Amino acid sequence: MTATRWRRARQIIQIISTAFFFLLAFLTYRGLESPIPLDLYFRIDPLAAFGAMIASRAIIVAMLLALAAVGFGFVFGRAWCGWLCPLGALLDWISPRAWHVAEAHKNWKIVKYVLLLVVFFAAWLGNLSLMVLDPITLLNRTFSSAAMPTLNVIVVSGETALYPIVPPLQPLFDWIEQNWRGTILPAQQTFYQLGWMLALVFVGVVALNWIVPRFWCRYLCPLGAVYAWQAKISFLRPRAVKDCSHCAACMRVCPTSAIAVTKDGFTVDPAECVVCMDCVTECPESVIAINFQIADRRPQTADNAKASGQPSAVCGRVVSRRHFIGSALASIGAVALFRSAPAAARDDPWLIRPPGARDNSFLAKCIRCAECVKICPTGVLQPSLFESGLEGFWTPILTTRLGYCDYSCNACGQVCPTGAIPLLALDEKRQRVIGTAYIDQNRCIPWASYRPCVVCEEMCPVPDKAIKLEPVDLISPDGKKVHVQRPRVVPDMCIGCGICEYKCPLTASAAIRVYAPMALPPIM
Amino acid sequence: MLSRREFIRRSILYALTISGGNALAGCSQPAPTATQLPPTATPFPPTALARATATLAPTTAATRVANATVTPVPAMTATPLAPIAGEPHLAVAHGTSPAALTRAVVDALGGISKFVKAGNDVIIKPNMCNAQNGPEYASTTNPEVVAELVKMCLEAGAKRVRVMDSPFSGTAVIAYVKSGIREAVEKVGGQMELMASNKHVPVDFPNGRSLKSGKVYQDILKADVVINVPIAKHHGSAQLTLAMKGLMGVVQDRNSIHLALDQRIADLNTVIKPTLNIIDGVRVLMNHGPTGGNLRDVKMANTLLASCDPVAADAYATQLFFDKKPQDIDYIKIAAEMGLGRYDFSNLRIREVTV
Repeated sequence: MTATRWRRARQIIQIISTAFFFLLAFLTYRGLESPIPLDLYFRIDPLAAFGAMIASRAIIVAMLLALAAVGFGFVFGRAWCGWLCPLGALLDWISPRAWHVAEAHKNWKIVKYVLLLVVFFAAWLGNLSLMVLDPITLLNRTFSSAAMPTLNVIVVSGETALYPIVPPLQPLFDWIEQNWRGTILPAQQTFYQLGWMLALVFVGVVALNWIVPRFWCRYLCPLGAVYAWQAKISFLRPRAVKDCSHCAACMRVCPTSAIAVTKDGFTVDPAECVVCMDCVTECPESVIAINFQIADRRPQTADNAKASGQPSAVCGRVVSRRHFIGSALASIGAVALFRSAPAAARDDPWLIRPPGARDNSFLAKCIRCAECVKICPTGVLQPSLFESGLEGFWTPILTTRLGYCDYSCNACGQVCPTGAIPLLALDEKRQRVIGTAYIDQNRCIPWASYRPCVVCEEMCPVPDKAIKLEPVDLISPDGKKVHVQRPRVVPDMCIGCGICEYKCPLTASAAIRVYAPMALPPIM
Repeated sequence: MLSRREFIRRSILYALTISGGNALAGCSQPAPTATQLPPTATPFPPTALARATATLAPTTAATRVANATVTPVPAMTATPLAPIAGEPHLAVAHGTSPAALTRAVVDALGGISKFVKAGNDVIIKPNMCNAQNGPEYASTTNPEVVAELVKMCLEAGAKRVRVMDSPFSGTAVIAYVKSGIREAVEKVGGQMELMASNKHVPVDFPNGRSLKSGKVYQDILKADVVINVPIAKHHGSAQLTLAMKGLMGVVQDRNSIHLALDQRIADLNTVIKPTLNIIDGVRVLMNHGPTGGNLRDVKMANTLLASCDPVAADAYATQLFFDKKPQDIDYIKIAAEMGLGRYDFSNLRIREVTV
């Protein structure tokens, strides 16, 4: 293949990979009929896989696919970043028209290694907070909790506005609603409290492109750091096959400033090279080639490479002992700080976890990927803010005024790549207590307003109803005789699904609310 | 030719004009109040209809929307037939085969051709209220009954037969599958339709006493024939859910209906008037409804009821399946008082058949 074709091949594969990521993301709404694992991109993510395995001290079988990614890294270096990473692709596409040439912040390269070290030290301490920086989780969270709800608002309001006034569009809208609803589009509009924040983070990551191209990939991405480390001994890297005129055209096009052309010759830092092939394509003398070579860890120049017959390469800046110890201490300090927060002493009353996730060393397994949030058909699963302290930032919780845990659904456990939400059979999931409902008798309509209402009881999916009705005859304050049924929760029967709270017709907060679960020992 | 710049400029101007107009129109409406509780239910003497209509007019967000944007659709295309001379008001069929029962009960009312004409657009509205249980738990309408009805409508020459409901829990996609209705209906050539939120239109209930407006699925209003096929179930708040209560499935905002459930079910039935009501009593959920989930609560009754009069059908089912008096079920009593139907059984022609 010619050099131009290589670049074209990369661009096509980048498009395919990104399209495939979003295809899987959309397919998640279809439920679980996909022949390809919906969480494929997390399974081949070594940062998420090994982070979760270290933190939870367990081998997560489904995520052993990440070993293949490690093998890939040793052969192809950071080719993941340039060829496959969907976030990398988006950063390539959404970028300023003119690349900045200068490597403005050479020392910042170290940041990603330090972040990676902190991720693994923290994982060793059972904490996965910084998994929020994994590019795949970042993209997926943004997609599920910001982009999709936004898209759905646009689709539905567009349809609603145009349906009555543009009849020719009606068949199209009908077709979309009949075929895409619950399969490609969410089954219903979902509402995420932190959608704006996720969108802001994503916009920030993209905006950094305007400082230098692929700012995120160069300086911050901890997954990039994993591959960068491997790249130092990877087989595949650019080298000058013969001496060149030092025109530095390659240096100017390199999106990650991995190339240095000096009077001594052409050098490339494999830890920064995303194998994009731009240098190969742009070289006016066609002297750069990307080749399989046994890595040479010594700094090389084109001249002495030619002399020694070795490929030209230099090592990137390596992490010093100081960085290593500093990261370890920072991790210990931060994790200890998290665990001195109130959330560690006592659960937040609204800390309602997906079925089976509580007491499953959840925080040590959850990679904050938001697959569960995405597939939850009612939108009850939300990325949390501080309900489980900073340590649980962006882990899923149930906000039962915005949705409910559907009695006929166990999807979250099926898409969770790490088993943080265990895979439960539907019958088993139906018995799993995730919370307990309590009635506020001061606000409940039959208790406080002398009117009939037992929507909570009606909705309760427990076969024998965890809400019991107590018929009473009352005299209302204005002297009328009224007959109402007053609901009472039987806490021992309540599974905490929250449909009572969701459907409670009161405005503002519901008169029946689900709290973190409490199981009392049986009465003797 | 417009230049691109000119096109964008005109589009923006147009959009601003429209949205500005809407915003102004919205401002002139009273602000939406928090969903108001209706007054404590008091018995309405039937003669006091006009007075009650005048006094009970809670301002709801739905009313505002109705006023602000779309002209309300006045009434349904489909309407119940007046009792056909010589034919019964109510038919009851007993037997063990749901399909045979369906045919028998419709035949006893005069046959499907009385209701469905060639080229008609038919909607069948079973109860698929949740995605939890299969049909054996009697929380959703028997799929064989629905499928047989689809078949009969197609035989009568219907242009298309659609089946739909909007569940209160779980997604419609899953509820359609779980109830077994999707498979049964598609096998005989019917279409399952999801009730998209964009197709719910504001409708006034001019004769409603408590419910004055709501958003109703527009195809229910436009179809030539609507056949309501509820399953007979126990219900915590309304006591029973049958034909009239089942129509809540065609309304978008059910929270507001729950605030004065019995009266508002009757109000809903002042506008939503299916051509035919068939109550599925093959299996009856006797307790822990409307969701169920326990086979202990399911009674095999092997019976179907059919009537154009939803009050008569509901009242008869109340007696037959649940051994209760129709006048003790508030919404049945209110609906009869409002003239939506009758349950004076001694004056109704009832045909009972066994297959």
